[in-house]
Amino acid sequence: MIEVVFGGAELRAVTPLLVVVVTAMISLLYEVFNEDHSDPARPVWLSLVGIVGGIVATVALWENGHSAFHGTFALDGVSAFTNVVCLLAAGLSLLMAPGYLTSIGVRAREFYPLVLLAASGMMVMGGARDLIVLFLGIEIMSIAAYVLAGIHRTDVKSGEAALKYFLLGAFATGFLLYGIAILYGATGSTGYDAIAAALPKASKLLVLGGVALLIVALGFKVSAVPFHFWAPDVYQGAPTSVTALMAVGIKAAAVVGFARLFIVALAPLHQDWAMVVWWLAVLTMTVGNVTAVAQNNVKRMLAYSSIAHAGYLLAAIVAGTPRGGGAVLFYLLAYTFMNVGAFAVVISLGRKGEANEQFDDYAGLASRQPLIAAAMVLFMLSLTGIPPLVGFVGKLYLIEAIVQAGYIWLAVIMVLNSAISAYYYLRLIFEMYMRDPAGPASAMEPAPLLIACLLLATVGTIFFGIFPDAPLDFARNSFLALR
Amino acid sequence: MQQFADYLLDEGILAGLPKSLGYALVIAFFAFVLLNFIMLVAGVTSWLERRVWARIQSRVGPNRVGPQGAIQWLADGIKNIMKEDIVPTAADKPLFKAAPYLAMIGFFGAWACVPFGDGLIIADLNVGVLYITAVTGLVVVGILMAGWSSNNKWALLGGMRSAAQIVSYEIPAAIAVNAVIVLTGTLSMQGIIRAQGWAPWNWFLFDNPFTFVAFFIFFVALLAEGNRTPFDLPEAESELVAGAFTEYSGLRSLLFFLVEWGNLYIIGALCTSLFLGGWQTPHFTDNGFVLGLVQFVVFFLKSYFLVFVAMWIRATLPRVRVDQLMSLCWKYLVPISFVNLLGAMLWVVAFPHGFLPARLGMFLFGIMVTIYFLMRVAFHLRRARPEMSWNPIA
Amino acid sequence: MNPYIALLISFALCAIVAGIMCGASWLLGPKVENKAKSEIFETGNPPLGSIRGIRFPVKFYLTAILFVVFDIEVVFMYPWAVVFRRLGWMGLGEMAVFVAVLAVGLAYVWRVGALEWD
Repeated sequence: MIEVVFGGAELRAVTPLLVVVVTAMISLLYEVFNEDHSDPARPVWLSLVGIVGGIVATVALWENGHSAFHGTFALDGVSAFTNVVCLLAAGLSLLMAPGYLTSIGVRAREFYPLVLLAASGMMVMGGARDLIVLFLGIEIMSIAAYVLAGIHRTDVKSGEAALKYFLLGAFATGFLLYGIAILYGATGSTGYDAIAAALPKASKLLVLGGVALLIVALGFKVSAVPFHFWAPDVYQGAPTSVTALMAVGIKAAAVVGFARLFIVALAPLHQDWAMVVWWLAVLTMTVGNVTAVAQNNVKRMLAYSSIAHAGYLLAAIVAGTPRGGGAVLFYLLAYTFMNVGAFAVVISLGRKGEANEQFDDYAGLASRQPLIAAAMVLFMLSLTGIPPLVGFVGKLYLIEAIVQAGYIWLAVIMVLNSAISAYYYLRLIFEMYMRDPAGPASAMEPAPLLIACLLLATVGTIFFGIFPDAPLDFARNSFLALR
Repeated sequence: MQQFADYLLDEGILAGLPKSLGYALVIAFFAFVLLNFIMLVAGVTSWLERRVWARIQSRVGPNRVGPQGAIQWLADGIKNIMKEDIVPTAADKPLFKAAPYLAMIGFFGAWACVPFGDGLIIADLNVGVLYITAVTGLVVVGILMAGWSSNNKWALLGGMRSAAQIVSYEIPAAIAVNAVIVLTGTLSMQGIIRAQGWAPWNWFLFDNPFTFVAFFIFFVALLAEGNRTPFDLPEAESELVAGAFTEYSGLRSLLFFLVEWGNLYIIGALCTSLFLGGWQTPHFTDNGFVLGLVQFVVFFLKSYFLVFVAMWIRATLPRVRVDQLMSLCWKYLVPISFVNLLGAMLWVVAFPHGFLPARLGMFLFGIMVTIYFLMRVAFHLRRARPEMSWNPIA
Repeated sequence: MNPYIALLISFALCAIVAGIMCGASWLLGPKVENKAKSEIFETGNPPLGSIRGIRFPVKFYLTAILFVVFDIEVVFMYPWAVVFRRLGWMGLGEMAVFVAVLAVGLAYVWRVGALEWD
């Protein structure tokens, strides 16, 4: 008799996923069967129902120490936090999408279901306790993301972004599978707990080979240097709302997948992988920041800054402690608000046919659109890490976790990097406030949904900067519960 | 076959040889016999098909070589061997030469899994059905290779059309097979046949309404996969010269025709094994040889009846258009087979040990449909040609 | 007796016999070089260009992608169908969900016109 495992624990684990995926499918069918396209914002509402439903289901059902499907998947604290972050990122990028997509002339109705499907892939990655499930999540997420990157079909840059992302992503998937195969060969299992238990007796050479391949693959997904070359082109070429999703949601899911794998499954090998990830983190943040300084395009600057932030996150993973993991989770939440906010501002300045993404286009913004400029200042300051905004708190706890684990130099490098990043973030503020506008004032009023998105991001940036305790404690406890 | 090999090894001519070598020799022998059998079947089919069409279309057909033209196919074969093997200078020579082999191997691989009798099978794989689906895919590769390497527009179009058609119809066929597999719980061809009985109401065709539908889906899909009329667009003579085989001459083209006519029999054999009870006969004698012979004859007749139906269809129906072909597959067969599969599952869950009244009812229904169909045929024949002679060879 | 070895032997035998037939044809058939004969056949006209690098309708590609998508799903059905009797209602429910997801996909490609050949 075959035992079909599908009980309460399994149902609990997949309910948030089911909510999101079923909404995606309903929304897909609605999009193609509905003939009335007069209101571009209508599909957003349906998708938002799925997002909110997913968040509600996650909040209602999560439980520390939970595991389902023979321990391959879990809806524990970490995955609940990831779910919320990823769904927030997806929801915010949905909010900024309708007006923007109309203005650039994208009528692909598949956008909304694809965002939901990408979000469901991220949720799978967050809860994966097995390499195969991790792979599954990465693929669900990536395939949707490849299509999303190229959803602006008539735009050459968008097509280039999609193709580049797809080819390199497929390549990274190959590395991932080889890594999984080798690790499986060495430890006899793909489950995280079983790997951790089998590591001390496993062949060191095989294990290290597998881990190296996994670092390459996951490094690609979090866009860590030197696997970052796709990131600027893809971020710049993809439609901005997709870029926001990629820079925040996909990065969050990949970082959590990275953290869970390395902090839980490969904990016995900490001494071995810490050095590699140390260098990865240092290179990533330094290269990201230094290159960002030289950019003249805001979207590209944000792309490099997102690489740099991946470096900060990796640095906390180097610590290898639950404290580090908790700091990573919290920083992801913080990063979601400030970075999505920044992309929303970029969108709000675009006009029909013109992207207005150069630094020069921001000159004198404060006099033209004072509120949006003020919001941008907030996001830039938060990304730099100025108190009392959320970016500061996040960075503070990252550094705290790194120092506590004894990586003083890493912390020093990170602080230095923050100083470098201040240059280009503050340069944008300088452009907006200290220079006169170059051309005529922008006539476009941001769509109501975009305003809602900006508002949410602003509120999140300020609120969690002042009251960070609740999510922070939650993040820490959930990583502590993993042990 | 296993018993036969054991017998030969123990006391027959192979006594004294190492066991594995002996088995290999026996297999090779049987495979050789099968190969010759295939050529015979394909050849006779090619002649018979032309005669049947001729009969249906009020023509005479080949009747010169041998009695009633019965060895026409042999003459054709010899003629083809004596012909020059032309390879166009512009062709991609290695691929061009390899393509017929690939098609041939793919098609022979399917034959190796056809159960002609209780032990009469070269390789009884436990994944038999899946294996046959997979290995016939090699034929597609061969055709596509032929189309591409010929460097000829007709050939390329024919090859692409053929590939598109075959892969499309693979889906309804594969889903329809599942309706049988949920009943048997095995993919082995012999296992599926053993799960049926000799009596028609024990065939899977009449097991429940869903397998009944699955049979027709499967048969239509296989006709399309075999590039048979009304689905013979890949080599539509009036449009594409000879499709993927335009540049082939002499023996290489003969190999492709061998594959085509041999595939016709495979279609019948697969339908017979999965739905029509295969070689099942009443156990009327303990003489293994006689029983095996009767099983073989029963299986052969059943499959050849389906071959005849395919000839009949080919002689009767006009060719469909490409868009009709594709919409028939994707818009009708695929959804129907999905629903049908769910129904078949529901039936198995509801009646895990089968439901005899339903079987008998389905059987009677089948008989009624057949009788009504035959009456219609007779009616039309009589109206169209009152003076028609019923003697098939006159 | 391992059936796969039997298959291997059959394959080899088939290739050998086909090879012998081709060899016989090569021995028995005439071999007359002729420029016109070795040209590709374009219904009697002089051949016009090569097929290498020509653009082909995208619908063939689309069909191939659809085939890959659906056939992989169907392949997933086989192992499930084999153990179906032991799964019972649970298996029925899960396969119903699976088929429903596939049906959504089919409805989508149908509606957006991916199944239209022209």
